[in-house]
Order: sequence, then C-alpha cells, then structure tokens
Amino acid sequence: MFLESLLSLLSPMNLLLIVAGVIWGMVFGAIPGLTATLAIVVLIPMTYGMGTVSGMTMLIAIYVGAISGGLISAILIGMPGTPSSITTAFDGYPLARRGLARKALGAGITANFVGCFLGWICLVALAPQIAKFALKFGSFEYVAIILFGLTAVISLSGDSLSKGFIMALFGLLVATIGTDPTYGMYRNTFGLDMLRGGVSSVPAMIGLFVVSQVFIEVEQLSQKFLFPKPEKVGILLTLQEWKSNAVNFLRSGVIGIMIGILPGIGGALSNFIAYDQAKKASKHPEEFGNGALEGIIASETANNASIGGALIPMLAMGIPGDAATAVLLGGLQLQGLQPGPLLMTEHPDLVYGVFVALLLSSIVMFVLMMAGIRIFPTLLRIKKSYLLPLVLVIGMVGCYNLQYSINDVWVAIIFGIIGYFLKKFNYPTTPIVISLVLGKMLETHLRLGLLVSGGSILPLVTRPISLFFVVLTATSLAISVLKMRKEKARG
Amino acid sequence: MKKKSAKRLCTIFLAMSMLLASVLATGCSSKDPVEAYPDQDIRIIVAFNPGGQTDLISRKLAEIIEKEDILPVSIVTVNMAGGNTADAINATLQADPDGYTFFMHHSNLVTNYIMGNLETKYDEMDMLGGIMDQPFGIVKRSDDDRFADVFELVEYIKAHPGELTCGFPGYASPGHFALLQFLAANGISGMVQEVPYAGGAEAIEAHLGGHTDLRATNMGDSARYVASGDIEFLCMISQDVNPDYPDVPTLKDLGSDMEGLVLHTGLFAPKGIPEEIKTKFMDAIHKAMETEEFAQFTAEMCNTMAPTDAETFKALYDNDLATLEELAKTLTQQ
Repeated sequence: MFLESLLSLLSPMNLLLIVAGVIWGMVFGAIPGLTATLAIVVLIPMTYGMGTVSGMTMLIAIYVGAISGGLISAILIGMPGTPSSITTAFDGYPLARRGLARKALGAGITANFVGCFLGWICLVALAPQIAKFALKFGSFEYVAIILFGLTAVISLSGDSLSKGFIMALFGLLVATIGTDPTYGMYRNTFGLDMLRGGVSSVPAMIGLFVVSQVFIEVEQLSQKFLFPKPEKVGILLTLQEWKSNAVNFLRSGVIGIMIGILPGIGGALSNFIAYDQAKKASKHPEEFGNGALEGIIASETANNASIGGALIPMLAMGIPGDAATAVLLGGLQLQGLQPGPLLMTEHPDLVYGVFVALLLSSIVMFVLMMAGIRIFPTLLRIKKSYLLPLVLVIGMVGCYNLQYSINDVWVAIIFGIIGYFLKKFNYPTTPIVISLVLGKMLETHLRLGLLVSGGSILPLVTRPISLFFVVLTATSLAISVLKMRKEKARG
Repeated sequence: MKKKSAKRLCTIFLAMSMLLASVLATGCSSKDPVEAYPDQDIRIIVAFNPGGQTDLISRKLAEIIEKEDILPVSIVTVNMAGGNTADAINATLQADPDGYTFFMHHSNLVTNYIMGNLETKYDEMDMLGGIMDQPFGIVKRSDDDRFADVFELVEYIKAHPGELTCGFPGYASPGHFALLQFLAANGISGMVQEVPYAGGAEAIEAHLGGHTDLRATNMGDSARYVASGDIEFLCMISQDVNPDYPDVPTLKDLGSDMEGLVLHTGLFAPKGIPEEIKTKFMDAIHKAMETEEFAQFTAEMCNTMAPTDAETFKALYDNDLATLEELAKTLTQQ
C-alpha cells in the first residue's frame, strides 16, 4: 500500500507540485510575519482542480517548506521568520557574524530534515495509539506542561535571572489584556478599542525581534552589511558532530513530536523547551547564545518534528494539531471529505498519500535548502541601508496579514520601541514572548480545569500525567538553582 | 531596411491597440457602477480562523461561483478572527456600501448580544438573507454507561445535581444557549457544570478524552464521531425529528414544547448598498447553492440549505432574540 502510494506520487507532475510547494513555503517561512498558515491558505484555491491526494501533497509541501524556511532569516539577519525559529537566531546569528553562516545553515537544515524524519516515523508507525494517548491530556495536564515550558525562561534570560523574571512577568501581565478566554468579556483594555483583541504573540515577536533589531542596526550604519562574506567551510556535519549531537537530535525530536501532538500548543513552545533542555544537558552551556551548533540543532529539530506530530491528531481524530493543520483539515473538507476517526479506514489512499508527501517533501526541502546555502547569503547580503527598510516594511505587511487588522501593526511598532530600550538596558526580550505565547493558554486551561473540578487545584498532582510534568518542572527548577549556587560559590 | 520597417509597423500597431484598450477601459469605468457591477474582486469577511465551518461555506461558494463562471470576478474570503468577532463586525460596518464587501456570520450575533459580549446588534448591518441552518444536540461518549438515553440522563442529573460537566464552543455561543434550552426544557437549569471551550475542536477533544461528560454540539461537529462509534446523540434540541437520526428523541419526546435554537448562517453587509447590486450578488449566491456540488458539500457537513430572503432572515433573528432573551432572564432570576 505504502509502495503503491509512493509510486503513484512519484509522477513528474506530483514532484513538481512538491518542489513548487516547498519553495513557496520557504519564502513565506523566511519572511518575518508571513506564517505557514497564510502560505497554505493563499494556495488552497489552486488545489481545487487537482484531486484530493495531489492537492494535499502540495499543501503538506508548503507546510514543510514554511516551517523550515524560518531558519534562513533567523541565522543570516538574526530575525526569526516564524515563532518556531526564535531560539535558532540566538546561536545562528552570532555564527553568521563570525563568517560561519554556511556552517550554521548546514547544521540547521540537517536538523530540519532529521526532525521531519523523526516526526514522520512516529506518524507512520504509531499515529492511532499516540492520538489516543494525546486525548488523555485534559486541562490540568496542559497546565502542568505549560508550567514546564515557562521554566525555559531561566535558560533564555541571558546574564541576569532577575531581569529575565521581570520580563516574563511583564509578558504575563500583557497576556491578560483583551478578551477574557472563558467568558469573552473585555478586561484591562483601558477603554481602548484596539486592545480588545489582546496582544497577539506574533506581532509582539516581530516588534521585539525585528523592529527593535532594525533600530539597533540603524545606529551602526558605518558597518555596511549585517554579516560578513561567509567563509568557505563545509556545510555537512562532521562525524564527530553527529556523534556528539546524537542525543540532542533524539531528545529535541521527541520534544517536538510531543508538543506537536497536543492540539493548540504549537511549534513555538517546542523550540523553547528543546533549546532549554539542550542547554541544560550541554557540557558547555556558556557557549549557548554565542554560536553553539547544538542550540541550532535543538531548535530546528524540534520545530520540524512538530509537523509530523501535528498531523497525528489530524489524521487519526480529525482534530487539528495547530493553526496550519486546521487549514489543512479545511482543505480536505472543501474537497468533499469529512476527516475524523474513520478517515484511516475509509480513505487509506489519502492517509498513505500524506505519509509519502511528508517524506518526499522533507527530502526535497533538504536538497533545495542545501543547494540554496550558496544563494541565501548572496540574496540577503544587501547593503544594510537597503535591507533594513525592506525588512521593516515586509514585517509590517506580515503583521497586517495575520488578521487583516491594523491593531497588530501598532502592536509590532510599540513592542519595537519597548524592545529597543530593553536591549539598550540589557534586558532579555525572549521571556516576554514566551509568556505571551504561554500566558493566555495557561489561564484558559487552568480556568477550564477549575470549572470541571469544581474549584479544586488538587488534580494537578493527583492525575498521573500532570504529576509527571509537575515533578519535571520542579526538578528542572532545582537543577538550575543548584547550578547557580555552585557558580556563585566558584565565582 | 525591411526588418526595420516591420519593427516600426509592429510598434505602431502596439501603440494603437494600447490606445484602443485604454479608451475601452475608460469607457467601462465611466459606466454606471450599478450597471458595471461586479468589475472588481468581492470580499467576504468571516469572523473566525480559516478551517472553521463558516469559513468553509464561504470558500465553497467562492469556488463554485468562480468555477461555474457565475460572476466575472473572484470572491475572496477574509478571516478577521480578532476581538471575539467584534473586529469583523466593525470592519463590515465601516466598509463602503458598494457591494464589494460582505460578511458571513451566524446566530452568534444574537446570543453574544444577549449576554452583553457584543455591543453591535445584528440589524445595524444590512441582512441579505440566510444560507444554511443547523440544529443542535447533546452527545455522550458511547462507553459512558451511567445513562443509556436522554430520559435516564435527566433522572441522573436530578439525582446528582452539579456532578456532570458539559462542554461547548465558547461562552454565550449558540451551542451554549442550546444547552441552556435543553436544561430549561427539563427543569434542570444550573444542575450541570457549563464548560466553555475556545472552539469546536477543543470541545470535541476534551469530550473524547473523557474530561467532560456531555457536549452540546451542532450536527456538523459530531456526525463523523457518531459514525465511528465514539459518541452517541442523546437528544436533538428541537421539536422535529432529525431526518439523519430518526431514532434520537427530541424535546417533544421529553414533554416540552420549546422550539430549539437553530444555527442560522447568512450574509450581512454595510447598510446602503443599491438594491440592484444586492440582487445581482444574492442571485449569484443562490445559483451556486443550486449546484450538485454544493448540495453534496452541505450534506457532508450535515447542514440544511436555507436560502431565505432578507425579511424572513431578519424575522428568524428577531424571533430568536425574543425567546432567548426570555430564557436568559428566567435564568438570571433564579
């Protein structure tokens, strides 16, 4: 069955669709503000005449391309194209500035492929079982796993932990603005209509990582380019690097798949957690943030593994794993299919088609991006005075496109200004984004959980899965505190 | 020499044809806008993210209208999911009434208005007509053996008030009101814990995973899980038997004469669009709805087509507003 699907999808036309889809997705992924979801929505009308399997193949290729493309801008200009590549920029950009762009891109792309592949294996081998397991996650389990995600703030705070906490709390405060997630009432809007929708994390991310970065770069226009001409170093990982990162690949892949499976949490969290865990496990954590290949590998393996993860509940249960798979589901329904628990038995051709499409797309993505390593730096090594305005304008357009709302553009500009001053005073900005991504989710699930449990918080420690994550959170915190004490005693 | 003159001839020909084209184009645009309608892309605003039911209905209509050449222009779906649907409503109210901006929405406009979560009343917009209807029901997981049918369920709730939880998509959503109707019809208001999820998918996931006991749902969100045997309908929140599920009891069987809420999806627009333009647009929509493809799509989603005219559509909303306001009042008095 799988072979049949493979052979039927290997027709020149389908391969062409995959290549076109991956390229289209890469462009959207690389441009800050343009998301995977948008890349798919825009091309859905093109799939109408194609037949279900071909159409789905192309949409999956776009999805893979868009999640992978984020690393190009993250590494070369230090501005993540999507929230799932935020942590890639931490180590990728310093490497690019040292002239090692090719090395960083090579590692990131390899990690993308490994991530995709691990996700694919899980999808093919275990989809129904995993989907059943994922259903066991109720509100309290979500609360526990989000708390675990929040501990990543410690690793991503830079030099000062207290500054990191202040920023995380600021983010949580901002997350309370807007529409109450349970009762739909407006709160903390200061009577302003523009705050009713709340502050979304993507425009805030563009403000903090793109707009403020542009301001800072503008101050140093004497430096003509963002990064020097890349040295001619090997782009493939050496055997030694493969060996030392084997655990890293596997751990980040599993984290990515886990997060991907849980509906509604999304790829942003997977790169935070994977990066945080890689840093904790590393023998030289001080290199993280200054150009550690491990950081890039952790982040890019995890976000691509989330693709296979997000497709699992979609195929097995008809429940979307993230915003992009919600659109894929919509695409299926427009083609006249009702995805649900019966999809796997009633339309095996489609399910196998998705399996094959994901595998082929990741291979095509790997080949295209590896070939593109020569081209990307040339494309982006434009004089700063031309590149920065271009990035700024594209970022603003991207923000507007998220919900066709001018409010999001204001959010990006305001957070750009806030971010500029924070960077000047050496405050880390990532904790704000982490809190914004997780804050509203944490509140939603906590309040739903309390509604169901009748106001008792005890299920958080009496339910086995949530207890597991609570213990994990506590351990993670304890290790960090101990490490810091040791360092203090030493220093 | 010959080559050169041929080139020149070519240039002259090109220039002349461009001139002609521009004259024709200006000729077109100087025509009456009502006559010329539609000569640019039409957008349909949807207040939810891509992939939801309203979004899909709008995209399907657009697809058919384009494929069958019903209108000479494209219809673009614009998702404005911000501000708890308020962003989309405001965008509609502020749009030019030129017939190039429409808004597809449903009974959420009524229920959210009643609960005070929405300041805009539906009739501040122009109501063009209905498209789809969808009834609601209450479902349980098939492996839940505490109650076999709806009659046992009502007894169970009366014996264990406050024990069962029921999920639905969104506080003050039509699904929420359908649940309130079901409870009121059986005299068990307030005896079930109401749990508002962010959307249909989240409510389904929590119910399938055993985190809530019951779920108030429209047909489209549940049919595929009923087919797979994961869940069962306990009750239809309506007076009429559902043709797809003839064995499922209705409110009538429970001894209540309450008319159940129906999700009315339809088209809205800013006020002031010329009558002829409205007719042209709605004719195109109705033509698309008459196709075999749309009928199949509707059946798959377990919707019923309901192409009502403007007055009937408004009367439906007025009626819902009156009955649901009454229900909300009795609940707050308790």
